[in-house]
Amino acid sequence: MAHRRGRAGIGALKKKGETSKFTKKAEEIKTTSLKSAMETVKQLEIKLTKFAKAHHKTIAKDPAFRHKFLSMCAPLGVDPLTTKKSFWSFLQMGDFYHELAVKVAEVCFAYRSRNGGIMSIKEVQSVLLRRGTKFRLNEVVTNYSADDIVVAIGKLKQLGSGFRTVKVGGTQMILSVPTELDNDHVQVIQLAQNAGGGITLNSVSDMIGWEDDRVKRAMDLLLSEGMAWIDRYEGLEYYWFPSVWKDSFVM
Amino acid sequence: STSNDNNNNDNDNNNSTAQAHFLHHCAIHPLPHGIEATGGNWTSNRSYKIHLASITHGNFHLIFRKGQKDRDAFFDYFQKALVRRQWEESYRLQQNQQTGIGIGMGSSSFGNVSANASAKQVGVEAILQRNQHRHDRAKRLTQDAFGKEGTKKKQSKNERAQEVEVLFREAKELTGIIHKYVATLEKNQNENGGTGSANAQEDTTELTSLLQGMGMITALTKESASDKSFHEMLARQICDFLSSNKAFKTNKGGSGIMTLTDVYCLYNRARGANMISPEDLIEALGRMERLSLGMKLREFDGSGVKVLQETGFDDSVMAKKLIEHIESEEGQCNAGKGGMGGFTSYFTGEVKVEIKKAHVGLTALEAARVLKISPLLANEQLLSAEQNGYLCRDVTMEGTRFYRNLFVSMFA
Repeated sequence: MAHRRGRAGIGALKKKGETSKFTKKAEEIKTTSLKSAMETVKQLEIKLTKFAKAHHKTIAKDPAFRHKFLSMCAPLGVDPLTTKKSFWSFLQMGDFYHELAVKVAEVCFAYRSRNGGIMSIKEVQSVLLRRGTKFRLNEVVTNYSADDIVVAIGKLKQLGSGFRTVKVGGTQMILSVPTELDNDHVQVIQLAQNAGGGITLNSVSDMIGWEDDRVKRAMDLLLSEGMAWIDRYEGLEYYWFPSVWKDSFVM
Repeated sequence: STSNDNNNNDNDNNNSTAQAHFLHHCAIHPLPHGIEATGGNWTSNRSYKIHLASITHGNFHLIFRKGQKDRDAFFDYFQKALVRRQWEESYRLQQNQQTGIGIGMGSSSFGNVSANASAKQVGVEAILQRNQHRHDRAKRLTQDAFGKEGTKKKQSKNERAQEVEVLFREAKELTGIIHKYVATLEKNQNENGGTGSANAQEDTTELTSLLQGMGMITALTKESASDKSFHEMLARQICDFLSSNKAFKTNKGGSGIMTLTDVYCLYNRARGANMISPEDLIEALGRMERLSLGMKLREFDGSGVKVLQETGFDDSVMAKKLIEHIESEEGQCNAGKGGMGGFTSYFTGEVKVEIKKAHVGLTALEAARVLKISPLLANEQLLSAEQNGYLCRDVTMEGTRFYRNLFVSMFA
């Protein structure tokens, strides 16, 4: 025998029009949760303000601390670099990174004809230091680290000109062209780096055992992009990579 | 504790004549060999000591008669002090002080003054006095550095790093709660198309602005009304800024196209302070078309290259320019100029010129020169022309060249 249908459960309530009670209760719960959420937000704001006021000088002066601070903010979903008016604005970190981004972009463009659009972070850093470039951050002159440059590159990425970082061996390189470099290309550049900047096609096959075609293909792309320069000397063809050649001579 | 007094002085000798030496911390051998905790053995070496190796005065033992705790506490502070090298700052200050005191070789009568001065500056008493001054200063500095209510700027790196950790832990909890709540709020918004009562809606707006004020990234804080007007205003500003730019504006001799990176750098440089973020730029440029500002944001398929171009900009115009250039080059070749279409026979050394309609291919670099834009953009134009059937490419070991697409005309 079937039990009486529609007696209990949400269906019954809906029929009887009792859902309004629950809607009201839901609203109540929502409002109290909202209040508690706002309380939490205010609490958080107090903590962050206290921290920022105590440490803003260190953030300006110490790149390692600055980096640690940023990496702490990221998983919290807090963005101190936002240009929207927030209480982080007084830190002026956004200004710093945007200015750094502009300067890094300019250096990359200036050197592109020389290295084809790939350049080590260290080299960019030394160019900027040599030029005596300073930045304004809390009106305190700062020193900037490779990590800072990486953050700046991250910002430039969105502009669609292909700015990104790539690791070649142990060195972080900046790419400023949209050319796609696959693992083969990176390996060839790495070999050149180990060899002090110049290699021959044969040395590549000797060192990592690729077939001639594979080596040629990778090298041809690098050549056509201007990242490698060919030097025909005494019957041998040397391929020079200005981006890593410089790097191995940077003090 | 007695151990602190050993800061700047050596240990008390048990000799009949008491001697005082001043040993500056910089004279201690670099860590980890400079100072070493020793002693405390059950048999030979009962007392707790610190072995100190100095460059100028040889080796010392600092003996702590009150035991291990004393010795360890002092060792800790001592080590920190040696690491911090505070004297490099205080030494400079001391220099200034000493010139104030003067060594007495001054302007007044030489004999008396110098005699007095030397009497004051030399001698055991003087040395002891100076020691005491330095000792007092060091004590004060140490207290400042390690005191609980001391100024924050004397914090060590470790202490600061710890504070970051603490903040992170506390903030993580709080942000977790906030995100959870925001998620439920968004869900409700999507479901009901509103949060119900008017009060709740007001509160939500307040919450949103609070979150925004803290720089928290949530779906709620994405685009507020004030942001919208900011971006629109920015769009107009950038438009005005570029309207006088010779590289961009066609009516000023420009190409009518520019990469976002170039726009970003140019505009921010001109702005000088309060620079905009790339996100702002993209938002602003995205609105230009709607606002009929005469230029718009464009993204190329495939490469993802983003540009700003004038509304009148037309890829086919560029393609036609390229073809015109190719044809004029071909014309020149056929007239016998240039070396295209000729070859040298290596065997006979004769030069034969074949009168053939030479086909000239363009590289991105050459196209850049023709169109007066950057190689990056020229490449995009070549690709676009290829897409539209005007050109076709030839990939060789020497690179990629683009030629007129004769397939189209041949089979037309």
